[in-house]
Amino acid sequence: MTPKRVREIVEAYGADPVRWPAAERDAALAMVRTDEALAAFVQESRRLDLLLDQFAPPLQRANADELTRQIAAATQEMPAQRDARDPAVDWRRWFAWPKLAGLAMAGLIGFTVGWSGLDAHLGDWAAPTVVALVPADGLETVLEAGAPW
Amino acid sequence: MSAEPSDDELMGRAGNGDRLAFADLVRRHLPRVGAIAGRMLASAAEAEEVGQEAFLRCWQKAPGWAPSGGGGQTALFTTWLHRIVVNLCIDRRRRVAPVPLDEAPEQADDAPHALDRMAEAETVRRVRTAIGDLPDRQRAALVLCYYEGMSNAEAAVALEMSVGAVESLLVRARRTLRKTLA
Repeated sequence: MTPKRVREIVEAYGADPVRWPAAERDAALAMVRTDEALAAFVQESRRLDLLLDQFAPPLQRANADELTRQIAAATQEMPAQRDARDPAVDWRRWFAWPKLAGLAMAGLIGFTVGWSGLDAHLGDWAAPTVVALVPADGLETVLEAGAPW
Repeated sequence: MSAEPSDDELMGRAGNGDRLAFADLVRRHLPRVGAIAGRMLASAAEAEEVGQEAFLRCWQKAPGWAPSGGGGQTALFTTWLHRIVVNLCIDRRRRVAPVPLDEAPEQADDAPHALDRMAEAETVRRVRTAIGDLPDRQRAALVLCYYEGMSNAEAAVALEMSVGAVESLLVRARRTLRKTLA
């Protein structure tokens, strides 16, 4: 402990040793008792403490139970605690209904296509589409002429 | 005779939807939460709002609260709660324009010693204003350490900074106050 450190402690925590860091308190106090300049510094700091002590927190409600009840009532409007912990609920929350609806629609279309046999004709539709995009004299002609794409 | 349930136990029960346990937790910590928020905001009404918001966060957090066992967890809960309160106060001050602290009308007082009381009230107003004008973190450090008697280590955890940083905030706060209130 040094006088400089005692001054730092007093500047930070004030004049009351109760507020000083516990690990340094005894050593700092011992130094203040034997050093008049430090004792005067602590006394000077006490003036600010006396001013600060006049700042009481604003008046709270006389009956804290009322506020407690109000807070407890506010929890009623929040999700139940069990919901927040239940993985099944989290799963349902993740897969909200629009996603489920989209999934069901995709399944229905797949089933309809498969059941009606439309998928068997997909190859037939694809071939004429490619032929229609390529001129009758073939792909080589297109490449020689400089295709627009 | 059974010991009072720890904060951990109450949080665990609140996590299972036990509103009575949660009410016990609120009742236990409300006075200190109110004092911290009250000094941070210099307004009882705002302090109540912050207190309510802080405890609702506790309620939301309760299902995931993981007690570590032993006596240390209680300190962890209070530190965690006080961190929420301080952050809510700082957020609120940044969001809302500060209300003049001396907006309450002065009442004429003809009673004996009226001048003394007026001078006292004026001193209180000056101190309140000076503390209210401190930067947020300096004010928070002062409220936690000076007024709430937290150790520098506890305040450091609550403010999410080092002990040295807390001490530095305290030194700067007190220097400013000494100059302002001289």
